[in-house]
Amino acid sequence: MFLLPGFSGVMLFYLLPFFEVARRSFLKAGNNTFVGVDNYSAVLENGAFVLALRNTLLYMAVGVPLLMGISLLLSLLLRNLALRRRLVSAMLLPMAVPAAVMVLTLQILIDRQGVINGVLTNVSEKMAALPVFAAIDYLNTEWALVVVVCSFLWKNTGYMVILWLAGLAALPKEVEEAAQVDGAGRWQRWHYIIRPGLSGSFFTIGMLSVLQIFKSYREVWMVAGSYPQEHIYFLQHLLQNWYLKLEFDRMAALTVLLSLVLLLVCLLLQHEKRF
Amino acid sequence: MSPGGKIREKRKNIRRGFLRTVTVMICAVLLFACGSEEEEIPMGRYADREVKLPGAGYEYMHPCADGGYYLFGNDADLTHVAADGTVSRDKWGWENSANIHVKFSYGVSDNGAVIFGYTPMFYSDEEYEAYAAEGDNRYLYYYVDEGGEQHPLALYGADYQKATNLETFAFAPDGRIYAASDSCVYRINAESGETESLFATTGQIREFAFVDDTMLALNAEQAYLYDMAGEKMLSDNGVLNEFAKSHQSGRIVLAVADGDGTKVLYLACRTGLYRYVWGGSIIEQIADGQMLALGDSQYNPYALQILDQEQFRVYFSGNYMVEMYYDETLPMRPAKELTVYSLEENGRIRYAGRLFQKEHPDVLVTYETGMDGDNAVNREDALKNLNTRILAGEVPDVIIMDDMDMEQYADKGVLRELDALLAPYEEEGVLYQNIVEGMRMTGENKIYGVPMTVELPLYLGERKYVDDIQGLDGIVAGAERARAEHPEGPLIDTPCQEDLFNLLIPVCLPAWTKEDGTLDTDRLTAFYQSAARLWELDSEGLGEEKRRKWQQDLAEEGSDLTNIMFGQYEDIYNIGETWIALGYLKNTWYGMTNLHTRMENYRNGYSYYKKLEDEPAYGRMMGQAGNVYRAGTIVGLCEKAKEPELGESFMELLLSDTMMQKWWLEGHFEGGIPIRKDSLAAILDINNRAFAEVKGWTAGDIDGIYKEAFWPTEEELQWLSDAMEESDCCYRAGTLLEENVRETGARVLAGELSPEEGAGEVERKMAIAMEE
Repeated sequence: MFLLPGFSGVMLFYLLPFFEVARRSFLKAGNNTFVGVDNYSAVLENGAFVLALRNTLLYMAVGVPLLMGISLLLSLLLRNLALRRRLVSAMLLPMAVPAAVMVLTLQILIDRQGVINGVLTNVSEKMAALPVFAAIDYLNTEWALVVVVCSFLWKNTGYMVILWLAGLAALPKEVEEAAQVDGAGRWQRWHYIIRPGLSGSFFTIGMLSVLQIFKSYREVWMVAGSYPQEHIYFLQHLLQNWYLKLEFDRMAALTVLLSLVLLLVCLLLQHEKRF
Repeated sequence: MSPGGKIREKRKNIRRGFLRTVTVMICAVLLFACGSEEEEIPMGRYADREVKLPGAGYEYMHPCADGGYYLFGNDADLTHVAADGTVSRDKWGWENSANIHVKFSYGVSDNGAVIFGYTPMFYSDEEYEAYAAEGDNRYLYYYVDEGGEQHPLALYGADYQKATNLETFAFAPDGRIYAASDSCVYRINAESGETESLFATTGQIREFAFVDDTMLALNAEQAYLYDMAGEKMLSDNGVLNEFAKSHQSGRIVLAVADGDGTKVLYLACRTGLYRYVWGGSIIEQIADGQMLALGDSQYNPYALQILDQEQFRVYFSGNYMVEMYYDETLPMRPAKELTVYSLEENGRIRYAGRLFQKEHPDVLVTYETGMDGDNAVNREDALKNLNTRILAGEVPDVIIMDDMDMEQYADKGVLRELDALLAPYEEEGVLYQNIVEGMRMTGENKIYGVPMTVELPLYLGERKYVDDIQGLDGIVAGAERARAEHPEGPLIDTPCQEDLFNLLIPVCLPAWTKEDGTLDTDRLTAFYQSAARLWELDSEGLGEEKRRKWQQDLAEEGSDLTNIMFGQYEDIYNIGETWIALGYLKNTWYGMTNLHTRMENYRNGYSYYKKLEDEPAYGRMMGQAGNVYRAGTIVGLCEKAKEPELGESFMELLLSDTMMQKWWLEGHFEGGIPIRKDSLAAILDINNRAFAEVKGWTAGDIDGIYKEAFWPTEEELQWLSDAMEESDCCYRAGTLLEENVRETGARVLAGELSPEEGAGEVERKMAIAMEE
């Protein structure tokens, strides 16, 4: 019975709405007639969905490992530094920057007449050996995904470093010191002591990184609008645009599909963790 | 039973208990949700009735404590209406020799003393220079005491700048005069003119009220409290501050009454009438604005007076007054409700709502706007909110589809097909059927929305520049000719890129979609080429600095350059700012078509700014799409409306001659040409005495001619009639294609993208949108 209050909240605010969404995914928006799995077929056959899914997966495939890898590397480097606390605090600053300021900064940097193009043009003009540099419209070319990944890394690395440092701090120092005394090198200490010890943090940081990928949509939308360059058109763009276009039935079907995929991923990860 | 069995039994009981509890909770929720529909509606609410005023031209009302009131205005005598209705006018003969040009802000006391600001007349450059030396565009002031003794008031004081214009005046109960500029509140000594600064404000104080020794000064941001006896500021009143901040659209007027041993402050604004017991912590609403004249956005409340027996008098802008009274026979809230939604405030709908409410006292007309000015909701947020409501089944009865993608809402079954409802109009031939047919959706061949008005794209200019410029290429060719002869200055009225798109997109957008629904990139490329060339030609004679100055000036004035109308065309064209005027004929003006195209008229006083070199000419701007019209106030009915019959009745009212003519009779001349043939004919009839009486313009024998008017010739009227008959291609704002074309177009005009690249980018974005 002690679970009842908490479960009631989950039931009322999550499960019941989700069941309603699932119900609507089998109905046609507008007249609410039963259409079977038509909405699911419509979603899976939709070209924009395929594009958005591909881009989102690519963004995740590039962004998550990079974020986890860079932040882990930095945390290993910072681990024994005396200035660690100050450096970590400084690295957290991007998280405190409001989205609007971040977008403005990004625009100043990557605009066709922005800082990056200006610097590269100057360098290419001054160094005759280099080819002539033509200004790039980063957000409207295939560079767009690179920009988005870079801004994602810039914003989230500090936070992930803290999480890795917390994981590292929890490792028993004695074991590592004993291994060092026994002649274990850096690689061996990493491979046999640190890496296995961080497996718990790995799962948490991995999940958080995936969530941060989804959260970074706000900045992408603010900087590139509802219809950005095709490489940075993500699932959230699709959902947002469908909402404005009253495509509630397809939205419901896509939501159910995404939920099932996420559930499957979580179960798989838990299964992996267990064994 | 074994221990394992006991545990299983226990678990079973827990499961049963859990299921029972959840079932009970669900039942409880359902019971609450499905409450009895037969609720008893309590009786009694405020209603209002119009008060006939003793004349025209008033702009100010001062409520007197004895129930009478004073009226005053630039073109009106100081008039006192006693509590018993006796009217007495104080005709000031001295004004004629007092060098007063225009009177502005006023203050009147209960005993008839008057203070007002004015601008003077100048008869020589020296006079003007002497005046301007202490601040240009500044007011001068007069004080007239209760005996009629008048004297100019030379204001002075340590903290008072002469260039400061005082906009709000008030007489305190002790006779002292308080006034406010846009940044300060002052006390004025009417005898000496000494002006003492009391406290600084952020923004113009619009209203004063006096509660014992406390002065309340209110603006849109804050309620300032000042202790007049102790001469110090009092601490903020959070309740009043919050009220001021949350009621920023429209004005708040105040009145103070004696309660049971305490003072009561009444506040009236667009949302209703409120009561605040002085020093209390809540402000309670006692009348809902949407059922009263207070809710009409066409009128701004200027003064509030408390009468006996819970009655109030409200004086509004437009010299309109009502008395509000409590009627116990009316239900507190009408049993039926008609909900009307539009993305932005639409004065015509607000007005129609008031008319409908009067005709149907048993119906509450709720007019909701997505972006209501009191919050920072943008278009996208407003559409999301509306879609959420639609998803939840909270559908309005009537939707005004301006700036919304009508096709999308029709496709999703939100809008109701109107063919059957419009059939009688077609049979009677009262509407311009070509315009109605222009609203037909190409896919389903059905009509889902009908506009109340249209605007016609138009060009004006000297014949040598505008001859044969209907098409987009023609406009560019005309601009090339004009630039060749006039290397300096702007060519067309487009200070900003946005203005150029406002002019050109409506006449081109319908041509960009092929029959199969795909984008015609060739035409879009041609559009970008023409737009870029026009922008380039315009910029050649301007330069960055001049353009920036122009943009700044216009932003300050808040001008809409796409509105071609009588006065504005004169202003822009005649002073030589532009050589080709492109825009939209969107109003009728005192019975005129607004087309002012005859040489004899240019010679008659209006054209002294610039000598025309050639005959003026005008015509329909065709762009790429042909006979385009811009639809305004597009009325749609919802498929799942709760009150479909009321929705139909409301649409009938909107399309009625009563509504269309009455709108103009009430003095709202802008906002499109009515699509009813009889209404347009009546509005253009120069012998329509009703219009002449509204503003004193006349072609006949009515008194009050004070300006020369140029009536349209038969030829011009015929042109307008033909243009209305030929309009068959509807431009509807708010589509995704337009949004993308504008967004990318800004980069094309800035030279970041070539026209071809721009069209390619729009195509790419639209391809994703089409895929969605």
